Amino acid sequence: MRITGIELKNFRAFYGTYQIDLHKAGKNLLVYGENGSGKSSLYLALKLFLESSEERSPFERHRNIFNADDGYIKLHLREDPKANEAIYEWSQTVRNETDNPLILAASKSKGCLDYKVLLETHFLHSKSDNVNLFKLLVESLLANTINQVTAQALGGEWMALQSAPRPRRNAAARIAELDEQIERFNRGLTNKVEELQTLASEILRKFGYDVTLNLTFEGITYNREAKTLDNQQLLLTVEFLDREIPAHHLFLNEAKLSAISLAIYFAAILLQPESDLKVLALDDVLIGLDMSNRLPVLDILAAYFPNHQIFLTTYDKVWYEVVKQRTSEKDWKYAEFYFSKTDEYEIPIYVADKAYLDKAREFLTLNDYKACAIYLRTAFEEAIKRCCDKKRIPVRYRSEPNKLDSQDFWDAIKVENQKSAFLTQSLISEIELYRSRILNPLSHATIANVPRKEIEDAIEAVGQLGQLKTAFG
Amino acid sequence: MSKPVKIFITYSHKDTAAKDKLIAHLAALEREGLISLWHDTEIAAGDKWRDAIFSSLAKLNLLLYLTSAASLASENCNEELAAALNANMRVIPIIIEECDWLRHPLSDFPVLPDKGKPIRAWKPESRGWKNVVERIQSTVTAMQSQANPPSEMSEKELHAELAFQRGNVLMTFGQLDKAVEAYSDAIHLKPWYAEAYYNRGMAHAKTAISPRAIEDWTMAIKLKPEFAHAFYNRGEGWLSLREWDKARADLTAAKNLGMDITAAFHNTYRSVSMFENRNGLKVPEDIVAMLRQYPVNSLTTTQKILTPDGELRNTHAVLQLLEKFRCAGKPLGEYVQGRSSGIITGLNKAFIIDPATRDALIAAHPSSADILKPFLGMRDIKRWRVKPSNRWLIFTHRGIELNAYPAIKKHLEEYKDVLQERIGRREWYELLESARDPVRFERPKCVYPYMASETAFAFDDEGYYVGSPSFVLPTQDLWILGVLNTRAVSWFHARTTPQKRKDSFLTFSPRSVAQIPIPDMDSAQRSLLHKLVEYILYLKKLPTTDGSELTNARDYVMVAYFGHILDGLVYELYLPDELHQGDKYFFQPLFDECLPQLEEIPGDDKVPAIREIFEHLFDKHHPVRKNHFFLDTLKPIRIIESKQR
Repeated sequence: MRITGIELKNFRAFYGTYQIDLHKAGKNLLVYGENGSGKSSLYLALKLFLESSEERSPFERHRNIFNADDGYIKLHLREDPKANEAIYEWSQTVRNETDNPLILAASKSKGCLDYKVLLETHFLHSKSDNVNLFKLLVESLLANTINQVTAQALGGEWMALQSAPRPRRNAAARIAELDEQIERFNRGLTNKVEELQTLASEILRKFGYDVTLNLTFEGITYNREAKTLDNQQLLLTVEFLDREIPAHHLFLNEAKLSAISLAIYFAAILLQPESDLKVLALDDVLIGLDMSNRLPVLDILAAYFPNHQIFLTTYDKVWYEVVKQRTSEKDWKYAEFYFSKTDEYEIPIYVADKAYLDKAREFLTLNDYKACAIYLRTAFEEAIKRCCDKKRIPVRYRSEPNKLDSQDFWDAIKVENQKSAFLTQSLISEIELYRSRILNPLSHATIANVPRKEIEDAIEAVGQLGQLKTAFG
Repeated sequence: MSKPVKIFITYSHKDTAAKDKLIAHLAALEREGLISLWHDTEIAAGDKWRDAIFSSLAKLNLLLYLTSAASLASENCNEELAAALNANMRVIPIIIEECDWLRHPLSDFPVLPDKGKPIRAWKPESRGWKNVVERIQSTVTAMQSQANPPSEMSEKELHAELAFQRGNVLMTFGQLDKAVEAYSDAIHLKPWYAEAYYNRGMAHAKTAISPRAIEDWTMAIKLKPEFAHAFYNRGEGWLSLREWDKARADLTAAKNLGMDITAAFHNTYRSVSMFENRNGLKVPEDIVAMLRQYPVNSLTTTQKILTPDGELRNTHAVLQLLEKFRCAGKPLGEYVQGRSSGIITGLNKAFIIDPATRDALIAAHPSSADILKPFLGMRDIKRWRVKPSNRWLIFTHRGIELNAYPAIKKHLEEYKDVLQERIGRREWYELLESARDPVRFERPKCVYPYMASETAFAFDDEGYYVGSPSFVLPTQDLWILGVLNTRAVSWFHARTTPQKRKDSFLTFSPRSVAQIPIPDMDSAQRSLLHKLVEYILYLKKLPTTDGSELTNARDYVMVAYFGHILDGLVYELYLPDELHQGDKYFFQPLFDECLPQLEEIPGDDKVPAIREIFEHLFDKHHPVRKNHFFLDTLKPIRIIESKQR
């Protein structure tokens, strides 16, 4: 069972509709995006969709507030490439489609980790030599892991324990009840860390650290006098060639703790039964690692998660290109998100979605001039870049290619056109006119005052530019 | 001058201010020597607080229960109430604030202030307190005058009332035989006691309608011709006895007396056809029309269903599941006949002793050993196994020849004064209530506590004597134990038995337990359940799975996992279609494993072999593990395990 497509509408950063096609085979997805470009929204779309029938947060809470229209998340699923596609929707109006065994099972065994969790490792040894992983494990890395004593998720049990009413000192039956609840939690967590550490150490060794992890948990206890849960300690020590590292807080720097956290997280997922739909989504989690530690992650994913569908996001363009090189297009889909900013809101632009002009027309019919102008500008920039590329027109050199803007390309095209005249003069002057009034990021603040006819004409002109045989061979 | 009436005040610590007010208002009575108040501040520092209270109760006469939401929910307050009733104290609830006392056993007693108007509702409150003090004063005077008998009649009436209240409480604890006895006492003391006849009839009818129930209701009607409830219940009784004309007449009479008979009927039965199925009969159309409440289709919307003693709100989906559970088999009461309630000593301090005292008693006279029995209290009973706290019971049953046990006699004589104050037709040295047939305790059996957070049936083959409020389920069939200790049964019980407690504890009684449907099984299925229960009981004996050390967490998980497998199997028995539609099977893959019986595993230490079985079944690819892991993705299981959004 694989995800073969994702459709999003007005979900968090996503303004309007987006479609990500993952092919009939349900490829893995690698997403590059600048910060704020919607890559985290995509990660959350997957995570929240899977959790939607367990969590009480309604779709409405995640709707894009700048767009008055309703939104949705739709997943397209196929049993295998030849099977029929099934579409599951989660939205304000369709709430129960995700409440089915397939999605519930996928959620129970899913891996969804974001960079924020790994940032917590930065605060781990503030006070002492000991690295106390209790909170990181129970509240983040193992929160979705099932306690095998109670068959409940550890994170939920920990929350329930924290909010359980504290019995009076002499309420013997209630104290006994709370103690039993604590014991079931302690036993479950102890067994889980015992079970984990071998596999986690094995995975950690793939990062190139030849060490063995030791996780020590002595169990939380209820303090009847202070009415507190004491001993919230799960200590990490590291053995190196069969001897403990004395000052291991020096060894355990942030990069290593990131790697250890990933290893523990992976081990926890691998030890539990697998559902039909196996999702592993990692949102920017590799940022804490050096480049040398990132490459092993690809090997780990290939070796331990061969049947999972993997979703990786990153804001590091270099890393994105590295992964692209090292993976095969047969199994992976690559997607880039950019964001386009107006004075009020941002719109992520999905690069694989070439039909920018259609999007512009769509928003025009909705009288959403701003979104229309953003897509129109994106279509324009895409057209002129493609033109320069195809006709090998020399463009002004800038040390940072990112800083090239549409002016550079357009100027180059105008110079080239004087030689070979592949554009008519009237098209050039039309484009010139719209460039200042519509196709310019600075114009978006005043776009509401531009007559509708003029925007329609601009769409027409950019359309002509994009379709010119002479320009694009 | 007569002795002051000794008063104990039960209150929640949240109501300390109200308690202080009450004490202030009672000060005058105390000065006059009419009453003496027992304060919990009298307990010496270092004394075990609860124990001190309970041993004191036996010496006191009147319990004032400050009733508020907090005290109703308080375990301590309710324990004090139960202990007071066991010590035959008089009980007067004083309503402090608006709260749900009507559904509490307290409602059986005359409440103060007048008409149950809460103290907080009086303007000013001191008027309410004044009313309370006046009434307490007259009660106290009456108690004193009865202590020095003025007229025989009023003493008898008082005792009749006490016996009646006692019966009501025993009913709520499910001790039907004793309740019948108590009501009979009440009737004996006050032969025109219509309510006692009525309730005795209810007690007789709890298991099945019997001629004795009909007789009692007839008597109640004769004594009180406007007794609508008696007409109604007799009518329902006639229905199940297929006496249509008599049923029609009684139901009509109840209706004419202003009773909502359809509501009453649906309190007990979901529908007329459910009544018909249970009793295997067909009710005539005109009576069905009298009783029918809902149009056939209205079940599709959420309903409130009332149960006999309280309100349970069950949605349609829940009702459907409950019905499937019921249709999957027969009630436990049909598999296991007979039952025993726990022993009530009337004074635990005298009858329940520690090992040192036991040794001393046997050393003093060897005959003592004959009537010293290993004892289990409610908290000693855990799921699967009892965890005895090493206490012994002096089993002085009715009619015992005490002189044969001189050491015991001497021991009990220390408490003679207090023991004599216990009401009841007992010798001073006899236990207040105990099973006539102690063999039930001696035989291997299942036991269960009155109160637990989930079903907690334990197997006991060491002959423990069980103290009230715990019960004996006289069966040695381990497969039944395997059915009972599952999530499915915990849920069914919680959903079908009105819970009187506001906390997470469930309450169990022989009556409620007898209703648990035991799914039909073939011998192979029973044998599989039996094997798994045997493993669990064997493993539970080990210190590693039962101690409090965190080492060997894996063994602890092993025991839990065998329990989870039973959960899965029993779900499959109750809801086969639902599980199979979701592709979840437990019986078949386990049959394929051909698990050995415990006795077929060679060697003295069977743990390694069981560990091996566990690790094999616990593999993440094993269908049993997978099916249990993903069991809560199925809708009915999500409803049962409260995971439904």
